[in-house]
Amino acid sequence: MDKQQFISAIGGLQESLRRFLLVLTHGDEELANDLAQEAILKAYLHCATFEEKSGLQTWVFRIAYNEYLNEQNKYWNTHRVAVENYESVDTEVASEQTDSAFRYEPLYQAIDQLPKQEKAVVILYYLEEKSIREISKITEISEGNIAVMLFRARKKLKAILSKE
Amino acid sequence: MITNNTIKKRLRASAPQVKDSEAFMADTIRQINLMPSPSSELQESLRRYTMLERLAMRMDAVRWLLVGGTGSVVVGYAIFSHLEAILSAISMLWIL
Repeated sequence: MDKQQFISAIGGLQESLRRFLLVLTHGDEELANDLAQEAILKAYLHCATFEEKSGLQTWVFRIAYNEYLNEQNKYWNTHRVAVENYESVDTEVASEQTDSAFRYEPLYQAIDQLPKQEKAVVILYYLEEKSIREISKITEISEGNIAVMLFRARKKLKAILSKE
Repeated sequence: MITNNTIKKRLRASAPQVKDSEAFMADTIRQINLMPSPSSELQESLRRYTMLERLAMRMDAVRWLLVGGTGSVVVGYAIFSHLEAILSAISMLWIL
């Protein structure tokens, strides 16, 4: 895959990628864009050896998801040091700079309460409409575990919807 | 009844809006242009050629090992089968 082919392929998937990261980062647009761009640039550096064009989207999502997890670990380590030094901790990750209306939607609030991995699985399945196999490739979780996670999350989400 | 599709529709209806796609793509392309080119097809061919070369060198080494091994066995066998004659020749030389 050459540079032009890569750029045109990325043009088609960047919105979906950024939306996925935007939900994961509680609506922090700047962080979501940074993570998306980092993932795209990493993918670009290795795109010549990537022949399976149809799997590009899954591959870029996987890099982006790993970038997000690394970022989360960095964030946690930074703030753990802050706690140890008796400094105040800003637990609110999201900034007010972005379209954060979705954060007040009960379904998104319920998703936000889920563990990191489960949250990613739910977003990929319901919002980005990925198949279980694709989600397994992105998150490196077995298909069986993904089915269990989705079953649990579905129960929670249905309970919220039925209350309304 | 609440189905998977109901959840999907609801989540998509209230999904966050992704803004400034053009600006994002422009910046990403600018970053891509600043980066070194990914390994090209030529580099890939070179890599394959190097791999084949290494394989040929390994096969060559194995061939020489086999030749050396066979030679050693032949010489060893010759020495062993003529051991008596060799020893008597050495003892003759020693006496002289």
